[in-house]
Amino acid sequence: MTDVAASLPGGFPSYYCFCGPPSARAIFVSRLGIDLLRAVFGNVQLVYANKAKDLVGQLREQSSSPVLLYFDFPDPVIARVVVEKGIPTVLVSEPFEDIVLYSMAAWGMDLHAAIRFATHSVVALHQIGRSRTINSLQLQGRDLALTELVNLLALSLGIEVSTEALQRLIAPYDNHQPHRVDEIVRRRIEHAEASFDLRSKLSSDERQLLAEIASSYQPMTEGRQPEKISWPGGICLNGDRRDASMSGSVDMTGPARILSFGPYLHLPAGRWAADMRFFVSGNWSRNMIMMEVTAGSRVLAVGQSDLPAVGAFSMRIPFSVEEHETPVEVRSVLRNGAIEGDFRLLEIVVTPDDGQIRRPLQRPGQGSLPGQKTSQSSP
Amino acid sequence: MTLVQSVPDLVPSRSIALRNIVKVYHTPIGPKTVLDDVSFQVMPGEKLAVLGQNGAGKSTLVKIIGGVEQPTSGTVDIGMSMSWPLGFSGGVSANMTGFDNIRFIARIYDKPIRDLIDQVDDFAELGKDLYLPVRLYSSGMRARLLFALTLAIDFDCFLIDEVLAVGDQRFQRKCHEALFVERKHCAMILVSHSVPAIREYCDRALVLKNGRGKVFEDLDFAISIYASL
Repeated sequence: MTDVAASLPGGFPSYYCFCGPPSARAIFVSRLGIDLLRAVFGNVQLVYANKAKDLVGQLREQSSSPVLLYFDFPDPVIARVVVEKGIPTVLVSEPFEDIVLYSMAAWGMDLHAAIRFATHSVVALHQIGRSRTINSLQLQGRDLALTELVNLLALSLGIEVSTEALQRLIAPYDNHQPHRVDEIVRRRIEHAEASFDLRSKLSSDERQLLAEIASSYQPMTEGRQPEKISWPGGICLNGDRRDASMSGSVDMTGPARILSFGPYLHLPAGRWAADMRFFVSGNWSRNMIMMEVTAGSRVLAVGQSDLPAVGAFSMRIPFSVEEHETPVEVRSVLRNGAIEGDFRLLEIVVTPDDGQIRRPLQRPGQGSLPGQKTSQSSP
Repeated sequence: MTLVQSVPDLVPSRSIALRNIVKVYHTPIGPKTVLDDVSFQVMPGEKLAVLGQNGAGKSTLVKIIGGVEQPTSGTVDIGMSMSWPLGFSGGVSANMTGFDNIRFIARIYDKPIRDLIDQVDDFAELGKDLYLPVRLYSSGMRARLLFALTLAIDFDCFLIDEVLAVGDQRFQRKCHEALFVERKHCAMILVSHSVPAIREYCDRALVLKNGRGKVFEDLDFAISIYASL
């Protein structure tokens, strides 16, 4: 962090920052921001960096021009420097679903990959979204005129724009009367049209999956702390068919193995508790289940319990996320070979850990069952 | 003339079929269910492995198949001649000589006594020890007598409970030859912890877990389950 901070010698007003998730509107705003700074200052150095080391590398070549930083997945060091240096920053806040759909349209990702990608960006930007030095800009649903947006950006960055500069800035958009931002974005930004139309092409299951995850991550796009994050079973992956999602039941018959894994979604750093909710049936020969929370190659917490014969249950274990960059995985593992039984992962609910000690396996509303153990790795 | 097509029975009479077997023992701490709704069928010539951890119910199942124990509920249909459990020492009287035990078995199974004595003597290689009471036999000698007696009766199906390691290596080879080569046309129910033996001799497997049982046609899959029970 010291190196990065030292690499920003100029301070205000030499540095400006635009950031936002990968989305059509955020891309448009950043392009407009460059045009705005050029209209005001003439030459502008654009630095795109999500990692502190990339930022330091690019700033070594700095000129006397104002610098415009742009990022969409900032690492904790960049986020801290931007906030602590008080760099005038515009954070484009976008609906989670739009981020996912744009990722699918622009980079050909499937829905699951796009959701993972979007959670990374949303959680990374959430670090700075709550800071008072950041100007959060929400465009969706506002139907702004282009001049309004330019003035809003100038106000956010603390710069004055002359009438001549404003005219020069909006001149390229002249053929799009009456300069509504949404319309310009749709026409000017690659893949925007396709991403806005993509929602109707999703299946009803995909739409539901996206809506469920969006409802968990949306507060973070708005700078709010999430009260709970729900990962539906369908976002996790089936241990028996690695490329299939964990929707429906899994026949437990077979050797000891991973029943479900994933979802490889991102969480803000902090203490959390994961509630794995599942339905089991036909488990008459008494199998045992293990729940494992991992991030990368690191096991964050492990819990195990006897698996009841039939019913809906939840298994809860606390864990700590040290940094948001590594996606989190929750595995359900069949501890022994099984000759019967069906397992259905309903959802994984992640909540900020309140520190209360709870038994790991609970039938909702009916307390816990015997034979359970949990362990949590120390940071 | 009228042609009448014969309709085969759903369960062929020449088979061993266990249906919905439940075995509950009453213990000082309450009833203990050792087998819980176990069903399977063995057809002539089929070789079924029975796999499971200790306490899974294998020995109880063997006793029920062998008629030594009765199930609490369920039915056992023995549609072919069935050996006693190979390695089961309850079939001979310890106070009788080996010779008298052979005569006793010959009468039960309606076999010529002299032929049976010759066959057992030839296979077990006990010599004059046949005239000693069985209680004086070493465990190896007793196993050889029982193995020889089992082979001497012309069973359709052999029930083998982990006795593939009887006696010294030479005798083991002899048992292997007699059981799995000369009688390869016979059905077998083989209870064993030996995965190589199961792989070599069986084509299906019944996996028992905590009293429950399931038959797997895919032997490798069954073994993979058994390996992680």
